[in-house]
This record gives sequence, C-alpha cells and structure tokens, in this order.
Amino acid sequence: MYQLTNVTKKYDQGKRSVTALQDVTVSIPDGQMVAIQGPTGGGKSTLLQMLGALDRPSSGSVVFETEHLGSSDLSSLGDSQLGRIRATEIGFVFQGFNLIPTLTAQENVETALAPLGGTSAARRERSAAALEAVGLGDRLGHLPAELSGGQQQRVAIARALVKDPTVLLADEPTGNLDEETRDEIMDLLEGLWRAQGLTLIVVTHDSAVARRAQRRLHIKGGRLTELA
Amino acid sequence: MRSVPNVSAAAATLLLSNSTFSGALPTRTQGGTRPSAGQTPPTGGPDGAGGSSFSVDSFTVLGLNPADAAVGPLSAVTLTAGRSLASTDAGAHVAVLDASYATTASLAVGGTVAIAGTDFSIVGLVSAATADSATAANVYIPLDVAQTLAALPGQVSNIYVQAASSTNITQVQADIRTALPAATVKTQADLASSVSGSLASASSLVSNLGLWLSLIVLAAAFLIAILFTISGVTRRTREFGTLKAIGWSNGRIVRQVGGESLVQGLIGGVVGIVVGLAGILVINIIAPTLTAGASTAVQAAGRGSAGGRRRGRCRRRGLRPRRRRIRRRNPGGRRVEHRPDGARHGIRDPRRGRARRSRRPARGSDRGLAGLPAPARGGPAQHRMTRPAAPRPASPRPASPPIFTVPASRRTRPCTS
Repeated sequence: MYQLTNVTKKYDQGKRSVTALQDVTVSIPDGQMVAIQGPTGGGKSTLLQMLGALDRPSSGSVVFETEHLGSSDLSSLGDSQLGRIRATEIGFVFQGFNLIPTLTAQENVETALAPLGGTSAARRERSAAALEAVGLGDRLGHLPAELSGGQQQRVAIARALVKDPTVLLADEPTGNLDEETRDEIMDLLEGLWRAQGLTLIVVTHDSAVARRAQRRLHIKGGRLTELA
Repeated sequence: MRSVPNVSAAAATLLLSNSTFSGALPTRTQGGTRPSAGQTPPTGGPDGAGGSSFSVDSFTVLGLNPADAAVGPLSAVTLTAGRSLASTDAGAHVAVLDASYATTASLAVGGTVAIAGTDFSIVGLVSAATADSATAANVYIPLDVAQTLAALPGQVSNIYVQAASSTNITQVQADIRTALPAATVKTQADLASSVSGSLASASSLVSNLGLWLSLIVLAAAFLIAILFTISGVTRRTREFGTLKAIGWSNGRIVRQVGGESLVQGLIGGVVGIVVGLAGILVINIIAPTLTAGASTAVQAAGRGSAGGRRRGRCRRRGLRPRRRRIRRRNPGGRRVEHRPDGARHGIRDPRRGRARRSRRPARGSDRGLAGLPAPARGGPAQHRMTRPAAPRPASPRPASPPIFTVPASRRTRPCTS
C-alpha cells in the first residue's frame, strides 16, 4: 500500500526551479490496478519515480507498506535501503523495454535475481519459469534483437515479475506496440495482476489501456486529480 | 724499430691517394658577373644550360717494402693472378692491384696503371683472404718509388710490428711508446676493444630506446583503455539505469563494469603477449645482431668486411664506391702510425702548402664540353698525389701529436656516382 502525503518535487535548473509534483496526496491500496494519465511534462514519470523508490520528494512523505517490510517512508530511507526495496518488492516495465542487448532473454530475466543472491541454477530455473509464464518458453536463448517488440516487452514483464514483487510499475508499457500487440500485453498484465494479487500502476497516454484499470488518476502541472 | 726488444719483424708503409680530375668547369665563374637583361645566358654543359661536366677518379696507393711482406699488408692477402712484389722490384715501376679494384677499373696483369702521371706495370692481383674482408689499398707499389712520387723521401705513415711472442705484447707496446713518444701505438686488442666499445654503446642506446618506447606505448595503451572504458560506460548509461531500477546497487554495477574490463584486459594482455613474442621472433630473424657482428668483425674479418659489401652494393647500383683507407692487422703484431695534427685524408699536405700535380694522357672518360674551353679527347688531365696521413721519418724523433682513428661506422659510408 502506498500513502503519499503532500508530496512536492522540485528540480533546480540553474536559477530556475521547476515543480514537477505539487502537494500530491493519494492512497493506493494493495492489489489495486491504477492508471495514471496526463499530458507530457505533467509529472507522470516523476510520480512513478516516487512510487518506485527511485527518487525522493523535496517535501512530503511516501509511505510504502508491505507484509514483508512493514511500513517505510521512502523519503527518509538511504540508497541501499531503497535499492533493497526495489530489488524485492517493486517491478518495473518500461516503454522502451530496456533489455540488455548482449544478453539472451533468459539472462536478461536473471539480472533481476542477481541482487537477491541464490545459486545460478536456481536463478536459471526461476527465469525460465517466468518466461514460460509470459509465453516465451521457447525463446530462452534468443537475443533481444531476435525478438519482436511484443516479445521483448514480454521478456521485460518476465524480468519484472520473476522476483515475485508486490508492486508492478509500468511506464507506457504499450507505447511502442501496435494495437493488437498492445491488447496482448495488457491482457497479459491484467491476467498476472489478477493471478498474483499485484498492485499494478500503469502510466499511459492510451485511454483504451486506462479504461482497463480499476482506478484512474490524472496529473497535470504536478497536481493529481481523481477521475471518475 | 727492429732494435726494440722482442720485435721479430717490422714493416713500414706509406699510404697515398691518387686523385685525377678530368673535364672542365664553366668559364662564367671567371668574371663573376651575371648576364644583364637581353644578354645570352652562359652555355655549356651536357645539356647546354651552362653547367660543368667533370669527373674525379681517386684510388689509394700503398708503398711498402717488398722485403717486409711477411708483416705488412700483403701478408694477409691472397694472390689471384701474376706475382707479388719482390725484393728485386725496389725502384721499379711495378704495381700489384687489388683484384676488386682491377675489375672495377678494367685493369689486368700485363697492363699499366697511371699513378701521378707515371705508368706502372701491373705484375699481380691480390684479393682479401676472406670473402667478407677487403685489402688495405687499391694499388701496392715499392716503398721507395712511392716516396719518390710523393716527394717524401724517407717518410712512412704506418709501421707494422710483430712481437716475438704474444706474452711480450704489453712490454713491446711500452717499449715502442718509449722509443716513439709522439706516436700512437695500438695493439689488436685495443682495436678490438674500441670497435666493440662502440658496438656496446650502440647496443646500450638501442636498449634505452626500447625501454622508453615501451614506457610510451604502455602509457598510450593505458590512456586508450581508460578512454574506451569511459566511452563504454557513457554509452551504457541507460543499461545501468535499468539495472538500478531492478534493484542493483551502485557497488554491484561498479563491480560488473570492473569485472568486464578485467576480463577484456586479460584477453587483450594474452593476445598482446602472443603478438609481441611473434614480433620479437620476426625481428630476431630479419634483424642483425650487434653482439655477434662485433665479435666476428674484429677478430676475424677486420674492417674490410663492410667495405667489400659496400663495393658490391654500389656496383649493383651502377655506382662507384668511395674508397677509404683500410688497415690490416697481423696476428700477434702491433702497428705504429705517425700522423701530424691537422692532416686529413684526401686533402693536400698542410706542410707543403700545395699538392703535387702531374699530368697524364686523358682517359676515354674525359669529355669535352660544348661552348667551353674543354680539353680535347686525348688531352691532358689533372692529377693530384696526396698523402692520406702525412708521413713522418721512421725515426725515434718526436713528431706532432699523433692521431689514430678507428671509423665508428663501417656500414653507412655513401657511394659516389
């Protein structure tokens, strides 16, 4: 569960100061599927960085609570603690897939398990199972360049879910895909969300994607509003 | 010299250089004025452009006493045609030629060679005892005749001395220094050490050069590796951001990059060592070895070896090799050389003020020049007889500060066309 209270994020650009988030207060319960929409530069990515423990707010608090870690204010944790939370509790899916081009699909998925330790064989087994879950069981040894856009995004989803996170953050996951592939990916994400009880937060420009969510938020000029 | 204890034999020689100038220079140099506008420029020369056309022929002449052939320069040569100089040749105009020079100058036994305008009968040809050495001079004539030609009666330039025993060399050297305090006395060991010392210096230079080149290359390699690593890290910023997002710590990312660089460095090192060793092998195969060359040249071949190769090389190019003085050493012997300060090879005698000149009929190579007062074919050519080292009387009297030089480089002397 997330509890954001009066979160403000400002970036200093020389003598100017740009406010990316302005007094954002929102609560996201566990297991909810949330879509965040808004214009470019509205603060969507900044909000996602706050939720993903990638950045700290200039003011306000971001309380993240899970069964394993308990309640933590991400704004007051150190880099190593934030890294640990990202490694165990939060999965990321990016618009550009962000796969490492020199590694195979299975090796890309294994990179998410590296911070958790374990044997190489165990990592290999878990990564193969994750790829099987996204329908790429026969593409373990393929390089990203040998896969289609939809398949690469499936590998990215497998990488995000292989560590069994409690939260999955997706930043424009279908932005680089055609409509048919987009629906396949969203069906996959929605199915995994339902199957694993994830908290799924999707940032999207696509209203068709947003309509699949239980809850829709809109952010513009750093201010967050709830859509009906 | 034979009065010095433990000296079993001695031979005196007089080394001369015979230079012949043939052709003509342009007359324009007499007035020293340049033609004004509209005037005809000077003409002449083979192309009519006012240049000169001449040639200079020079060869070395060594006067020696035929009776002392056991010690002198002719003791280490091989007779290839005719006969050598004999005691009865004293005062006669006979000559023995170096076989290589005879071939170059198209001379043979039974013919004549002109020295200082005087024809000498060629009675024999000699060649170096080994293939990689050379003889001491181009032409050998009786010592008294050489002294007469050079107008240096009773003077010699070198004395070759043979010790009675190799155990007496040091004492003989000291005795000769006492007898001839102004002379430079060199033993074979001295010559060997001077040459090998030069080679050792060259070897040290090569070693130091190699060390500094290695350091420079190493520094350049480090710099290139650093630049490549920085470039690679910069290009992988997106990748590192992704790894950070999925939970990788900064330390793990740094270790990952460092490990990759280490593996690449090890692979590059192994490849570099293999390539380097291969390069060393190739260089060792194709390059000469200084150490081996020094030992062989000094002990066996002498300084004549490079000269022989140079002459051969020059002939292959169609050029005439520049002659130089070559001294032969006799096993177990000593050499004494007198040389007044300031005297040089191939220049006029500084004490006489000018060189002797003589005339001889021009050779077939003498050419007339169009538009210039050139000598007609068959006309006179100018000769110059000089001493490479001004001789001193072979007496114990002190002379000017002596000079004895050993050419440092034997393989880089140029050819003259």
